[in-house]
Amino acid sequence: MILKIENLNKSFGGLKAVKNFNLILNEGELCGLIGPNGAGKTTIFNLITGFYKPDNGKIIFKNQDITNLLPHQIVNLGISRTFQNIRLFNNLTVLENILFAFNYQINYSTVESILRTSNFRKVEKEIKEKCYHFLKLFDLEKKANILAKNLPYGEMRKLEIARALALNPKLLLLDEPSCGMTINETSLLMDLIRFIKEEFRLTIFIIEHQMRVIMNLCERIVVMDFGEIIAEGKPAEIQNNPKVIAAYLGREYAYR
Amino acid sequence: MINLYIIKIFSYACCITISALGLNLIYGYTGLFSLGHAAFMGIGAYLSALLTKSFSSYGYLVYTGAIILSVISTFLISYLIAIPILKLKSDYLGIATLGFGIIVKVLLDNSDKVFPQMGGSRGMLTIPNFTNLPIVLLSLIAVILIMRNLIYSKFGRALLAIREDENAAYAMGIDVYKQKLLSFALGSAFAGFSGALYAHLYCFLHPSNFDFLRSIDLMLIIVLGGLGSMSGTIIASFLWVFILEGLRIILPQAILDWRLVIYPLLLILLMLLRPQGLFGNKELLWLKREYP
Repeated sequence: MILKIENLNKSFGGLKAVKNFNLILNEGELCGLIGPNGAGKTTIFNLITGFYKPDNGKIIFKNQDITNLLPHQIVNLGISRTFQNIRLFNNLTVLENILFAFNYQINYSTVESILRTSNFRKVEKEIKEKCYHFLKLFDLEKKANILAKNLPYGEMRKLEIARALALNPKLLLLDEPSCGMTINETSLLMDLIRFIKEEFRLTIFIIEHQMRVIMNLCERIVVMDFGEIIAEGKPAEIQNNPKVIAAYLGREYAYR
Repeated sequence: MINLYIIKIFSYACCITISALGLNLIYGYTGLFSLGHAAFMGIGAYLSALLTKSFSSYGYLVYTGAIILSVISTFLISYLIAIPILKLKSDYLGIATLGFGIIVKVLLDNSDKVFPQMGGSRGMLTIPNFTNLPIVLLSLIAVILIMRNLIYSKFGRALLAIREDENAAYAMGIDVYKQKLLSFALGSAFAGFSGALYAHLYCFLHPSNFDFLRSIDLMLIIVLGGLGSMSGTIIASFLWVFILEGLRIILPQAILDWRLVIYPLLLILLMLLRPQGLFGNKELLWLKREYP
């Protein structure tokens, strides 16, 4: 068990975005989170990563309570994420985007960076090598010096995922990675996700709207509607679950 | 005679550059909109002048001490100010810093009630003339070096990340609030340093030298040079100082007062032709990024 969420609640004014949410993620699994628009999926991600504070409930990551930690502290513990609307550092190069992810792993002081000590130069050199290693891994090395905003859409996604992985996470949260992609790009994305799961041996929690992606990739699926979990199980079970069908297609389709 | 005059203007340009570099760190690199930068210059200037004037018999010893002290105090003061106001963003932050600038100006206007030597709204006179060309030049070079080394390190990258996308910066494990505080305080300390040099260059201080219009001038310089470009700021500072002075010499007596009309017209023209500033975010020579 890597992540445990207990009785999580979050409301925005009168809207209860998340109601009594309970979830356990096992180490090394690829779990999907689906649900109709406005079901509270992204809110769950924002709660786990500390962007929102829950009203009550607990989030435990590797036996440590992270409920009230700040986003950057949670990243340092090993949870990283991507965003639904890609958030790259647009006016910086592809290389720099990756470089920034290594920032928190760097240990030299500000004084050392002013004086350019040998330790500083050693660390910087190592980091740059690691960056190129990453770029090579994701087949982006030829584009190292292109501004992030000039990349094609599919590669922007890839860069964002690469950047999240450069943080060396134990748990990776992907928020609708296939959003806005063509069928071809989506297939490449699925290969990419399988590849990183093998390569980095991490736990992946993924929000997705495209059923093709979620049914093919995930070992387990959690379905949300109106802030609550309505079903949980293997892809085949979910497909035939009347509650899920009701949430997506309406009640009259559910019990035919 | 003319040489002495040019040296004075050149030294003044160096002071302005140091201050503008500080503002570029705050606004150009971190994206914190600050309209109270000249106030920190004022704090540094008045504090150091008060010290050197009170202990003038110690000469350069007290001058050095006064400069160091004013850099440290502007750092601390701006850090304390920033703790509450950096919770604000963009325009709101601008207004808060503007308010701070006005408070400092009013305090300086009335300073003679507590410290008669500071002269209040009549201005502070007979400050010892310690600052000379080698000192400002060395200071400027030191500041450029420090800033360059900071920008191309972990700290500078955190600032750029914050400017580009605050949420993404959080997601990169960057302590956004802390880095903003440091950037603001460090940029303001540059202004304090510049103020301390300036005070001992002209030997006369007046609160209106550090009012809101001076903050706007600095903002103008960094936008003109290009936000996030050190080369741009340096060149724009010198251009700004020398064009303002140069117009005084070039223009015939009859239209001398038009100086302040011609100069804004030049600005408008430049902004129309190059909205990203003279340099955009490009750098020259050894100020360029080190990584390929």
